[in-house]
Amino acid sequence: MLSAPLLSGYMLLWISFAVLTALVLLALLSPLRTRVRDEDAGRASFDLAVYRDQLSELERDQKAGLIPDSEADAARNEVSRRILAAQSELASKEEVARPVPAWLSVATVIAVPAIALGGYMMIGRPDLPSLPLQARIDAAVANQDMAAMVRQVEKHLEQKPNDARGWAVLAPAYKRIGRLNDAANAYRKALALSGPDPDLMTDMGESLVLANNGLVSNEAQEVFEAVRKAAPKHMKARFYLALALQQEGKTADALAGWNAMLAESSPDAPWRSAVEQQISSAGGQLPKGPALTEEQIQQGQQMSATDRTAMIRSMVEGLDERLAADGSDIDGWLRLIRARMVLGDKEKATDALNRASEALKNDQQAVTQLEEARKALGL
Amino acid sequence: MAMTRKQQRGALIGAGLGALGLAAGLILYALSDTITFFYTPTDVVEKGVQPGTRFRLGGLVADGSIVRGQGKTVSFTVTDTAGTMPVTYVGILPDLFREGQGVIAEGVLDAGGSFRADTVLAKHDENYMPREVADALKEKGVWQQSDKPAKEGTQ
Amino acid sequence: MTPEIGQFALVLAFVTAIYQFAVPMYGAWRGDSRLMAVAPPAALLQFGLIALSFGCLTWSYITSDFSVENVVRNSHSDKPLIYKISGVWGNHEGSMLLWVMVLALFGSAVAAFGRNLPPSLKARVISVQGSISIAFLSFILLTSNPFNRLDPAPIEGQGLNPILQDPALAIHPPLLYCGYVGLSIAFSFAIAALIEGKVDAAWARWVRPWTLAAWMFLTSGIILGSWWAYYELGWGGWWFWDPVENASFMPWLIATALLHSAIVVEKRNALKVWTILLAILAFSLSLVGTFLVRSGVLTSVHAFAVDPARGVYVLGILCVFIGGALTLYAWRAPTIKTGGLFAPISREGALVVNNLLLTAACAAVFIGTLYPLVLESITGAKISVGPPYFNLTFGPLILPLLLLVPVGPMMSWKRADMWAAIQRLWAAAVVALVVAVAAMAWQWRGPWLAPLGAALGAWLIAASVQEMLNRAKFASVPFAVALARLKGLPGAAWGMMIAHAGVGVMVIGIVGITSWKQEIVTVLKPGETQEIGGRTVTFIGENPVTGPNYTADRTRFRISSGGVEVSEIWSEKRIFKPSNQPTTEVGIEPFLDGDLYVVAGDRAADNGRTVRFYFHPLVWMIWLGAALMFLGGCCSIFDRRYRVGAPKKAKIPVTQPAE
Repeated sequence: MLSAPLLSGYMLLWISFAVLTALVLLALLSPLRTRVRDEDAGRASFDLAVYRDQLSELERDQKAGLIPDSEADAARNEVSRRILAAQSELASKEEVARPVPAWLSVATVIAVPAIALGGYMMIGRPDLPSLPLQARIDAAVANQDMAAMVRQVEKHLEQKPNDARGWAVLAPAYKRIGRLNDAANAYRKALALSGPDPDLMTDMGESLVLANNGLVSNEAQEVFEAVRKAAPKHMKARFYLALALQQEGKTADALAGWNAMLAESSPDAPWRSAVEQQISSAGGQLPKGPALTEEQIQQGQQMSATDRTAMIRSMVEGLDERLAADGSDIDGWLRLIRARMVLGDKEKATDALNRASEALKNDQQAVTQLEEARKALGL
Repeated sequence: MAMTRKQQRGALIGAGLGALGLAAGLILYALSDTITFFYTPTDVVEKGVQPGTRFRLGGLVADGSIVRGQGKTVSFTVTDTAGTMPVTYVGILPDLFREGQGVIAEGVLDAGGSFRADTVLAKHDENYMPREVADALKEKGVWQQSDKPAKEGTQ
Repeated sequence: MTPEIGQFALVLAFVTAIYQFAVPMYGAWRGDSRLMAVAPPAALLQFGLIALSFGCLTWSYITSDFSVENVVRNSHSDKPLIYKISGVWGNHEGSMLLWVMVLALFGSAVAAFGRNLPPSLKARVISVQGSISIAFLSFILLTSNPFNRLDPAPIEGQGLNPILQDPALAIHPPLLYCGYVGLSIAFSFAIAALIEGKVDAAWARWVRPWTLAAWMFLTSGIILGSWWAYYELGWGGWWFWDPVENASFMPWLIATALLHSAIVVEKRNALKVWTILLAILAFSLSLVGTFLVRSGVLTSVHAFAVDPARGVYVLGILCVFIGGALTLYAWRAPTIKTGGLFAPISREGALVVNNLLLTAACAAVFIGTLYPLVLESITGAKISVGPPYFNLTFGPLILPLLLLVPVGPMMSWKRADMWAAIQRLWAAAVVALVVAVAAMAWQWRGPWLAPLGAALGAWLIAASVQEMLNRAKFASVPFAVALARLKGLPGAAWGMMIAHAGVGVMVIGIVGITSWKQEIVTVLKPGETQEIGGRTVTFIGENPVTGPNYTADRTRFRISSGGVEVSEIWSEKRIFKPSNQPTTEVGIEPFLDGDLYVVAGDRAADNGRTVRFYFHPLVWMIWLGAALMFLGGCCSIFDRRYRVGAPKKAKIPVTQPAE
C-alpha cells in the first residue's frame, strides 16, 4: 500500500528483533559473570530464621494469653529442638560458586538467537506491517478504496443515524462491494427516514433478489408490489414482478408482464434487451440468467435460441455429473436445482434436491439452504 | 494418650480409607440412580425408550415446527434429519432457540410418544467458528457473519 | 510491525523458559551457586517478554488491527474500548497467552520476593515453573498462535458475543487464571521438595501464603462467574454443576484442603508427605480444568474453540506433568522425614478430617464430571450427570465438615478434649437452635431440611464470633482491654474467623435460594398483576429502546408491597447490531429478604407477554459469604509471620531450649 514507509518499517522490525535478542542475552549471561558473595548464608540459617520467628510468636501469643502456658511450653520445646538440629547442620555448607563452564556461555550465545529466529521464521510474517484501522481508512480514502469509504460513511452514520441521504449513498456502495444484505438494510433505513420512494424501493428489492441468488423472495415481491401500486409505470419493479411469476411457475403470466413492458416502452429503452432475453428464454422454455454464471450467459447471448438451449442443457448435465461424483458443493447443487426448475423439469429438480440433501446431510448450513430452496421453489 | 508413630499412621490410613469408602459408596449409589441419558429422536425409536423415562433429547429444531401462543406452552419438533420427535415445553425458551438450530431438551417421554421437556438448552456462545467459514475468511479476506450453530446439540 | 514484535517476544520467552528450566536445575544439582543465581533474572525476563507480547496483542485489539486473525475473529471497531481490551482474553488464543503471562508473573514473584528461601530450593522452584512455561508456550506457538496474520486484511472484524460483553465476565477469566496458575507455585514447591528429599521450615511458610493467594483468586473468580450466570443467563440459578464450573471448583476444594494442611506442616512439622500430594493434586486439577475447557471435550453449555489437535496437545502436557509428578512422588516421598506426633483428637486430627472430607468431596465432583466423558469414549452412550448426582454425593460429604468447622479451632494442638471443645460452643449452639425455629416460623413451606441448613449457617457464624470474643476475653477483662486485645489478635486468627463466618453466611444464602425459591411462569397483559414473594408485581407495558449497539423491547413492571409502590423494574429482549443476536436482560430488584427477578419471554396474544418471575430469598448472602471468605484470606495473608526476612550472616545467638 505505502511502499516507502513499509521498507523502513521492515528494517525497523529487524532492528527491534536484534535489540530484543541482545537484551535477552545480556540478561541471561550477566548473572554468570557477577561475583556471587561467598559469605552468603548457609541453608540451615534459613530454617533458623523461621524457627526464631516462631519462638517470638509463641512469646507474643503466650503474653496475650491466647494459648495456655502448658501448650506454649510444649510448643517451645518442640521449636527449640528443631533449632538445635538446624544449628548442628549450619556448619556444613553445600553450595559454592564455581567457575562457569565455558560451553554454557557459548551455547547460550549461539542457541538463543538461533532458536528464536528459527522459531520466528516458521510462524512469523515479517513482511506484513501492522494495519490499525484508522490508518487504513486514512490511506484508503486517499486511494479511493471503496471498502474503506464505506467504512467512512458508516462512521458518519453512527454519529448521525438519521441522515437519510447518507444511507442512500451507502446502500449502492454496499451493493458494489457485494454486501448485498447490508445494502438491502441500508435502503430500508433510507426509506424509513425519507418516506416511500419508488426508485429506492426498487433498488432495495433488487438487492434482496441478488442476495437471494436471483430468487425473488416474498419480501422482495411485496416491495415491488408496493412500487407498482405507487408508480404503475416503474419498469424495473414490473420486470422483477414478472420474474417472480416465472419462478413460481406461472410462465404465461410472466410473459404477459414482460410483453406489456415492451409494448409500453420506446424502441431505444435501455432495458429492452434484458426483457427480450427473458421473454425468449421463458417463451422457448429457455433457462434464465441467474442459474448460470455471467460468463456463460454472455457466451449464450451470442448464439441462436436453439444453440443456446443445447448449450445450457449440456452445461446442466455436466454440472449434474460433476455433483454426482463430488456432492460437497452446495452452491453447485443450488444452481443445478434452479436450472432444472427453470428448464421446466420439476421431477429432475426434486431428484437433484433429494440427492443434495443426502450428500450434504452432515452440513447443517447446507441443509438449511436446501430447505429454503425447497420452500422457495415449491418442491 | 500419646500414640506411637505406627499407631498414628494406622489411624490416618484408617480414617483415609473410611472417607474413601464413604465417598465411593455415595458415588456408586448416585451414579446408578441419578444419571440422565442423551438420545436423538432416532435413538429413542431404536433403543425402545419406555414412556416415563427421563432423558435428554438432542437434535435440531425442525423448520416451521415451532408453535407458540397456547398460553405458556410452546411446542416444536426435534429432528436428527432421520427421525423426529414432538416436544412440548412450558416456560420461556432461551434467546438462541431458533429453527434449524441445535437444542437439548431434558424431560420425560409421555405415553402418547411426545416429549414433555422441563428444561430447554440452546447453545450459549456464538463465538464458535466453523472451519469452512474460517477458511473462506482466509481466502477472501472478508469476514462474513455466520449463523451456523455450534452443533453441540448433535454431538 | 507491532504484532510481529509480539510474536518474536513470545518466541524469545520460549527460549528463555528453556534456559530458566535447564540452567538452575543443573546448577542446583551441581551445588553451584552461580548457576543457581541465574534463575531469578531469567524468570523476570520471561515475564517481561510475555508481558511485551501480551501488550502487543492488546495494542492490536485497541487499534483494531484486522491484519491479525485473532483480532478479526474476536473484535469489532464499534466495540467500547473496555470490551476491545477484554476481547484479548475472551477467546482461546488470547486466554492462553494470559494464562502463561500469569504463570510467568507468579514465577517472577518467587524470584523477586524469595530472598528468605534457601538458594537451591528457590532455583529448583523457579526451574519447575520454567518447565511449565515451556509446555504452555510451545502449545501456544504450535497450536494456538494469537499472532497469525491475514493478508489481505479484512476491513471489519466479527464482534464479540454480546452476552460476553459484560464487566463481570471481563474480569472473571483473569481472576480464575490467577487462581489456577497460582497453584503452580505450590506444585513447583512440592516438586522441588521431592527432588531435594527435604521439607524445610521455610518451605511450609512459603507454600501457605501462595496457596492462600491462589485460593483467594479462585474464590473471587468462581463467584464472579456465578454472579454473571445469575443475572445474565436468566435461568434463575447461580450454580449449575456444569462441567466448566466443576473444572474450577475441583482445584478450589483441594486448595482449601491444602491451606489447612499447610498449617499443620508449619506449626507441627507433620503431614508433610500428604501436603506435598495435595499441592501436586491442586495444580493437576487446574491442568485438568484447562484441558476440559480448552479441548472442547465437554458437551457443555459453554461452547468454546473445538479443535482436537489442541485437545491432544493439552492432554499430552497433562500426562507429562501429572504422571511425572506422581511418579516422582511415589519414588521420593518415602525419603522425606516424617514429623511431629499427634493424637486423633487434636487440632491436627480435626484438620485431617477436614482434608479427608474435602478430598472425598472433590473426588465425587471429579467422577461426576468425567464419568460421562469416560463412558462415552468406552461405550458410546451419552449421559449427563446433573445436580441430583452432586446433591446426593457432595452434600453428605460436605455437611459433616461444615458441622465440625467450629469445633476444630477450639481444640488444642497435639491432643485435645473433644467434649470440652464442644462445651465451649454452647452459645453458638443456642443461636443455631433459635435460627432453626425462626426459619421454621418464617418459611414453613420449604423442605424440612431447610431450617436445619439455616441453623448450620448460624452455627458457623455464631461460633466464629464466639471464638473471637473468647480470644479477646470479653467475659473476664474490662471491655476496653478486651477491645484492645481484639485489635491485637494476629491476622491469621482474624482471617480464619472471617472466612469461617463467610462460609456460614453463604450456607444460609444457598439454603435460601435452593429451598425457598418461588418461580412462576405466566402470561400477563398490560395492567395485570402477579403476586410473588409477598409483593405484587404489575405489568405496566412495553416500549422500544435503542442502546449503543442494540435495539430492545423493554417490558416494565411496578412492584408494590402492601398497596404501596416500592419500585419499578424492567427486563429487556435485546437484538445486537453486528450479529442480530438476541439476548435477554433480566430485571432484578434486591430486597433484604431476597431478590425479585423478572425475565421477559415471548410475545403472547393481545399485547400479552410470557413472563417468568422468581423470588430468590437471601441470595445476597451467597455473594456476601464469598466476599467474607476473600476478606478472610486477605487478613491471613498479611499476617506478620509471613514477613520473615532473609537470614543475615550475623552471629547466630544460640538459644537454649527450655526443658
